[in-house]
Amino acid sequence: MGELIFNAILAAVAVVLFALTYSFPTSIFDKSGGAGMYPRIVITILVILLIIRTIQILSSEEEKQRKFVFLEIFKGPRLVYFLVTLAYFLLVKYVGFILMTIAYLIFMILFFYRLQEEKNPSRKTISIVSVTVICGVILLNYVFCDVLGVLLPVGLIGF
Amino acid sequence: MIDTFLSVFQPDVLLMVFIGVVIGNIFGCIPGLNAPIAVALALPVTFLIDTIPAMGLLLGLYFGATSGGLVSAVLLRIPGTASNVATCFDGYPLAQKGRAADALSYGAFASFFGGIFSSLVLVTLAPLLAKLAIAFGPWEFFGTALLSLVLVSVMMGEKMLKSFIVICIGLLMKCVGLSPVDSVALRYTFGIKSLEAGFNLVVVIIGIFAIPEVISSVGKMDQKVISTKLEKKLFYIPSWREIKDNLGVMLSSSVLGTIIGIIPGMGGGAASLISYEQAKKTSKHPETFGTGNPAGVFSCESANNAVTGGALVPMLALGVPGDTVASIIMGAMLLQGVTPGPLLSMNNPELFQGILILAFITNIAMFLYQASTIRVMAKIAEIPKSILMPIITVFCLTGTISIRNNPFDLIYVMMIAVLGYIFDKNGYPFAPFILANVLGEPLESNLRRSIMYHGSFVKCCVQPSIGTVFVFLSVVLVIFAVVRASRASSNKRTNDTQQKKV
Repeated sequence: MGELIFNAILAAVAVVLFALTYSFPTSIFDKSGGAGMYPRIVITILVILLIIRTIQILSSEEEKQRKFVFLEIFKGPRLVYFLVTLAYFLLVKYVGFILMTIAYLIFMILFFYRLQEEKNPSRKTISIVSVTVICGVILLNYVFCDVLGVLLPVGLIGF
Repeated sequence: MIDTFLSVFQPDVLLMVFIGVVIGNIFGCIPGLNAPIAVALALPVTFLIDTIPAMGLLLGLYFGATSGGLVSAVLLRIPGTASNVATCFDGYPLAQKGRAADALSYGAFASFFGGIFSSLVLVTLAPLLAKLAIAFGPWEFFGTALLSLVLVSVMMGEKMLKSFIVICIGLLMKCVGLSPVDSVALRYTFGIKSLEAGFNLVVVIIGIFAIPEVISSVGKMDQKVISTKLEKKLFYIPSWREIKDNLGVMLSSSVLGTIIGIIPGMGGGAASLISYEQAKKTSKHPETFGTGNPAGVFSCESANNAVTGGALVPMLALGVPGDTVASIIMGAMLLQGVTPGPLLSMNNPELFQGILILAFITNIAMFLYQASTIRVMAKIAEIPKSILMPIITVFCLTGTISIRNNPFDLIYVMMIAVLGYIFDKNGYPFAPFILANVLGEPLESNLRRSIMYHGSFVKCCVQPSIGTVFVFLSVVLVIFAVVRASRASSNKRTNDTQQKKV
């Protein structure tokens, strides 16, 4: 059922994208079919393939029973990872690379440690992780910014 | 040629090769990390250095990661990459018998043998193919790109339909932004300025490979690693007798691996499994395979490394990558302003020859490094995922942001990561998606140029050219694969019905 919904969403998006191709401007000198021709071919093939896949799923018991994995991302530790990473990616511009990365790494490493060892990290572990992460991130920032010349976000507080 | 040698044998180039080999080996030997992730994360760094050192770094990562997977395959029975699945069959039993160091030395030598063999083929075949392809026009390039996309999907067997679906999604993603050829229409940008240049290839690669792997690993955090002790040695190398006994196996596996590498879509995993089966079939003692026969390790390790050189042949000569990593490397070259293909040898002979020489240097560096650091690599394979996975995510961020310092890239890298996770967990292959992203633009621009030149698509199809042959071959391949798949499914249905009756 999950894959059928996935196919239906894909097909619906494809139909919208197909309709949009007619709004693309075409140069009068362009004799190649215009900017919309190629996406139209791709979308038509995609929709045909999705229909075939849907028929394939509906006609096979094995396919019908096969679980479609999608919602697992939004459950348990994966959800925590996903949300924290999303927040890290969105906030890094405002908070800055060094601060945000230190916070992210300390939280994620300790969170994964708890999952892996099935126990809370000791104070010693937390201290070692924190010191190593702080030194590592400062070194990483130095390598990227000063050696490789990459502009990493400095954030509102300046570092 | 002397200029090329001089430009390759520079300290910075050799340093990049070495760094690539070391990091590649680390990525290869850690289960869950692989060559595409290693190369994808290194792509942003390549923009900051010259093309030849950048190629040295990428080849080092590619060859190193392909070979590095043997460490965890032998010691932990967890293949570091898909290319090392068959290495577990005999490598792990050898380790269980207390011969882990032997198994690793067989693997390291076989990888070197396969790599050097395919590099020789690369040196011989790539310039030859490039010369043949020099007269290619838009129609021929379109045919070549189309055929490689079809080949990738047809090779997927049961996943063929899913492969074609991800190709269409990849091609459609490449339509976003300014239209090629006319450069007039802005397609699917929805008023977002950042989308005018389209989805960045590096961001797509990081999103599709690296982050889904981390998300996937989060669910397996509780898996414990049991280590195997290794005897101390300065240099792990098989004896002359062992090399002599397995020379035939290594040679035939290297031939198979190189051929499989040249064919788009098959990759190291298929090469090692096929050559393992081949070695088993031709062996005088097939019953010993799976119980710790050195020939098993020699065969699959030489085959998977032979794929690397093979995959570079069509990339350099035709602009069509042979496997996923070659696609990413090709993307890196395109982003550096270098177009791989027949014109590369003519327009940039120094770089073309430089890559050929680098293939040899990288293989030698890889062997020297691997044979001397097997004990260290064994320790690295045991690094807990709780430390690795957050660090990889940070590298995904630095990699994404260093391309054009655009926060918008960080938003869609997460969306692509979700798409990658769905693909990964539901049997939709990654390789065709990446290939479609690499070949999408040339496919469209060459199709439209061909239509403009010949008048219509039908007129293109009646041109007496290799392009027409490739297009025709693509259609025939699809028909053949569809017929074969429908026969297989009807046979399966008949069997199921008969079983139900019984």
